[in-house]
Amino acid sequence: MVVKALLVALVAFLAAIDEQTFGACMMSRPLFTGPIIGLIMGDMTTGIIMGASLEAMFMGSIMVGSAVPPEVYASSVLSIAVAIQSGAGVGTAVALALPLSVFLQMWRNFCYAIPGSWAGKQIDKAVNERNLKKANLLHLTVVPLSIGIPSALLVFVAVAFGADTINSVLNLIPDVVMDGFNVAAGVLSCVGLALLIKMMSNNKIMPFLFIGFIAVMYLGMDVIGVAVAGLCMALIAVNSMRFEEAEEDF
Amino acid sequence: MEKKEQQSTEIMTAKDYRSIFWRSFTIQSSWSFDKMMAYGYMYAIEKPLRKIYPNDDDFYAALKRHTETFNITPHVSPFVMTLGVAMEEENAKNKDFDTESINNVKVGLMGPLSGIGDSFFWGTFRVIAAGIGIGLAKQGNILGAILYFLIYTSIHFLTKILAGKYGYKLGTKFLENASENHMMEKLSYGASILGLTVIGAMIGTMVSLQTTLSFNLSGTETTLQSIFDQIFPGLLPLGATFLCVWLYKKNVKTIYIILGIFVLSILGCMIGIF
Repeated sequence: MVVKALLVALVAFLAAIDEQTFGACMMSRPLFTGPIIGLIMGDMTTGIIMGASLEAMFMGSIMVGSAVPPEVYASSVLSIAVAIQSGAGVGTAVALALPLSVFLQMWRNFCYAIPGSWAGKQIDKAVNERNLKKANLLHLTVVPLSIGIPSALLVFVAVAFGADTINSVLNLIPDVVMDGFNVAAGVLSCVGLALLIKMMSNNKIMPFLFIGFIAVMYLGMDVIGVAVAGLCMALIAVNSMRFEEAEEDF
Repeated sequence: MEKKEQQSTEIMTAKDYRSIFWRSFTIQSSWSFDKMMAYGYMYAIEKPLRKIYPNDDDFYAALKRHTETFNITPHVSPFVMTLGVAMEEENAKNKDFDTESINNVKVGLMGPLSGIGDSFFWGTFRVIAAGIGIGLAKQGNILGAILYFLIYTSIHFLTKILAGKYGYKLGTKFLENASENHMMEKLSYGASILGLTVIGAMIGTMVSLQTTLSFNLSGTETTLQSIFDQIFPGLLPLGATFLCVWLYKKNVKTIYIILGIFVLSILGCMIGIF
């Protein structure tokens, strides 16, 4: 059992860091991990079928922009493993994995907020010190490890000692903290946008920002539509640019 | 120009394209709410940058330029990466090159390319590949997973390779005669207008903040959010963003802003504002 749990945890680790390390190649999704977990747990066909049902269930959950979706990767690895282990249906397995999925989602947000921005600070520092090796190492390790290790650990404990042990611990986290984390996850991308606004801030062109905002909020346009409108405005503005013919240039 | 005349051969060799291709997979490796994919971008173009700037001073100055906030659909990122290389190459050749335009162009491309990339990859290709896969896998057929892998990965890799090639081609071709006709100034100005418009749109789509506060108004229960929605929808996300801009202008450190958001969110949930 321990060997199986270790292997499942390894798959959970690799799946959890797909977005970070493997360029969101989407091989972390249950449709692909299902057969692998099935193979480890000794029932490949069930693994494939479970993977398909979970995939259909999680279809809508993907990382777009910076909205963080419920954790699909490690928690579906766990669901499939538990389902095969206990012989329960996929519904039971998902119900068992759900608290873990919610917790891992919260943990992921935390990693993007604190270890992620800490790594950024350190990379800035390393670039200033002209230490490229250190900068690259920080880039490649900090966030993947802080997401991957806890995910793998939780999956290992759940498979080796039963999912109930994990859930009873996770249930100790007060709801208000969970809710607060979800609110924070929704707002936090304003920090990155604020940095961009500060970088480009030039009061002459600030009205364009509000035009873009209003187009989405009042007209209900999507980002592609706004981008096309923005391109048109940019072309109009560029065509009406006037240059002082500086004689020293010619 | 006192600089050594560059050979007319392109700086990007097959090896550099490969380096950008493989490194671009880690673009989200240090994703954070503030810098997003900035360092992933920097990491991906290090090899060609080193070739462009053999001298340490120039090389690290260039790396520093690429530590600004950046975000894009990962699958189309090589386009902006090789375009950035083309701009850096022009900067090394041309003394009058305005380095600020490099980030303006990057930000300008962020929104439009992500808009297209997100809908194609998340909305279309993955759903098609998964749909085909699920159909087979439901019957316990391993071909479901294999087909899903083959369909998605071939489109994913092909897009990355082509995006990398065309970003550089387009960049060098465009920049060839950029020093004439104030082309670079125009590009930089146009890109910053496009960029800001899209950032405005992204405040509306990416930042979500709503209040659940309700009060009794002459007998009827009203939520504060419904009043906001009537007067100025999105007041809270916009307000939160500009509060952050203001804090940054006051030189408040990112970590305090992020911690502040966490604390306020939890406190807000406790007293029932959110």
